[in-house]
Amino acid sequence: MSRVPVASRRGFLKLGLFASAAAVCLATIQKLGPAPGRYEGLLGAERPRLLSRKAFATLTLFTMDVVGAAPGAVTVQQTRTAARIDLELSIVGGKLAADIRAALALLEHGPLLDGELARYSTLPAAQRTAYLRRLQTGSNVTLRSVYNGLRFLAMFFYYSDDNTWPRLGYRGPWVPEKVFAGGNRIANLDARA
Amino acid sequence: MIIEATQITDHRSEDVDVVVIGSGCGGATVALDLARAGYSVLILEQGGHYSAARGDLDQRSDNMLARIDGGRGLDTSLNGELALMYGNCVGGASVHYWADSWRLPQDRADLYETLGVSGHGHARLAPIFDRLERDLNVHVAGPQYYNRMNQLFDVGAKQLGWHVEGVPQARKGCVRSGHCYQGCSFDAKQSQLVTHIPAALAAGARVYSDCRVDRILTDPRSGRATGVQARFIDRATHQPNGGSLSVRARAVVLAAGGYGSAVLWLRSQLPDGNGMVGKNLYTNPNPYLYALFDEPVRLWENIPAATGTSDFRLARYEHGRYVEGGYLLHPNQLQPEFLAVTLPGFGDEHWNLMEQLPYIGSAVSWIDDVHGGHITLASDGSPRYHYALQGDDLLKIRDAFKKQALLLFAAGAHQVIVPDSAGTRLQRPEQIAVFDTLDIQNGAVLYGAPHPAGTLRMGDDPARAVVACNHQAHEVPGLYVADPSVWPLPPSVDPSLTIMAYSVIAAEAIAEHLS
Repeated sequence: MSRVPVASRRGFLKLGLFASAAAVCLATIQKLGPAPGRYEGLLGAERPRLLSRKAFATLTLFTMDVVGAAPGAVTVQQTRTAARIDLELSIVGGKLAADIRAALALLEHGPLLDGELARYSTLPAAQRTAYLRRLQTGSNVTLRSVYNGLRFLAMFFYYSDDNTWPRLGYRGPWVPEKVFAGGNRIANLDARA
Repeated sequence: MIIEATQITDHRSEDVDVVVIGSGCGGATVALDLARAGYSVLILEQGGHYSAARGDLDQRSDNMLARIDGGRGLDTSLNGELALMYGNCVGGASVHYWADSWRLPQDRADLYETLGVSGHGHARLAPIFDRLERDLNVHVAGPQYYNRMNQLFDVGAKQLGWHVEGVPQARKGCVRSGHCYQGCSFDAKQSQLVTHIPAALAAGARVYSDCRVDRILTDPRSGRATGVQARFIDRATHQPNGGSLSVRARAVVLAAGGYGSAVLWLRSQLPDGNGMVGKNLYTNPNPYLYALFDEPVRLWENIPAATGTSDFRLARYEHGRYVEGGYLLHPNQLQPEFLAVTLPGFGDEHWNLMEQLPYIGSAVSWIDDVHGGHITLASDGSPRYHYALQGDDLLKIRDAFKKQALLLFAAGAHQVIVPDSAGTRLQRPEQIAVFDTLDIQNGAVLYGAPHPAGTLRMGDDPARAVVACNHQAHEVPGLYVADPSVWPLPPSVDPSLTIMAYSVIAAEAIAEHLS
């Protein structure tokens, strides 16, 4: 009855493949050591509800990369895009939340499988773009699903913020906003803080 | 009277003639007719009650998906290929439908008969459709309701020699706000929320919203359905609020929709002697293309599809091989956040499209799928929707993409944008052969799947069907199904009016049983 494709990729991870990939990664990750400063820098003042701080930081960087930084546009930090995604996952829970956590882990450690001696969050911007391009256009269905699923969330939660609309030529809804207790807008972040 | 979860935190018991699970096109209609016939009717709706009068329908997609969509807009098939869209509110999926209101075509009613469905033929349905069209003010939209994409659609179709037709609309007093999918803020779209639900309430029916049915109860000796057990859900957390409900009923009507009814059947561990419960999942998947025009289109304005073509509704075969068709072809409507999600690419490439958003047009098709998927339950009872595009259905999608591209170019587009992962672009119509081999499976393209059907199939033969043609379950006396789960195949048009028509027949059968 309705006609808009609106979902993220829920069942997108082939967990067996992921487990194998993770096993290959772990030894290397240990050698590389943590990057706490990088993660904390990406977190800013946000306090994730469901995701780990590391996963939240990875998500934040991913939203920055896929949304981009057009001159004059509000930033993903201003729209609190990662925090809203984290809130939504905390409400939905279940398989979707588990899938997204796994996807973020694979995104973060995927460059190691490509032979990079760095994680996604420590790559320079140009290399991150190249990495995301490989996920987007590569033949690996699992990696492509990671990209598409996370990208869905990033785009939806960024562009559903009212402050992004004026630059799109969209005048917005015809009626006032009504805060929904089960919602995932910035007002909900503040209400549940 | 609609009783919401906030009003109940303890246990309640009810004893009624009929309990109806679900308040969408199927449940609301069957409840209305049985209440008017004098039976005590209780409707249980898992989702909340949201109304325009209270300002609940605020047109923000994030808020509204959280309010009215079953998966909060995030549910997909197991392989990530389909976005599952279903209602979770009083009024069901009709609250976010486009109001397209087709009668079941005669060829499809005839096909259903050959597949074992009796008592639902074209002649039987015609007067029911007459009534429903009056109830819902179904009419063809006037020219003031054609947004620019609708006008361009007609230009392109006529250029190609395709017949266009006004799409019947269930609307009254539409103000053209363009936010039908988010739930009408003006009560103009004639969803069940503003038509059959209030009519059923006026006839004496009652509704519990936020009421999740855990299981359908049966008598252990006779196997007869005797009622339901349910819990009340807190909208903010989606968790039980402590309230519960036991309903004892002479008839139980399962109308939880094409994605929900089979799930509840399986959770209730009802009999499934022929193994057909949850099988034959059809979803009416919808491929769509975008296009750049030299003039503003603004896809989000006015009503979604005032026009369309049925030229390709029926699939055409030659010597047993698929040639073309098997879908409706319509103009598309999306709000900016959905465009952002489905336009391909990231970073600068994506922004380059976003800053041209008013100039982007779109066409969409509704694939009449014949290769069904199936539903299973995970160990925690949550559903898994198994569905993979295959066979002729895949060919239909490729053909639909070609026709959409031809139409968009004929309408004046200078570039066609495929919403695939790779971000494929076409600069001229001669390039449509790309669709013969383009990777469009396994999540390369995300298809909407708004019209589930088939998982509790109807037929008089108990060996091949779950539900008899009087809508009563073959193996569970007293349990009736009144939603698209009963169809042996999709209806080839928007299903809402046909769901209601079938439910009118279901109500008659239930009334006969109760009397």
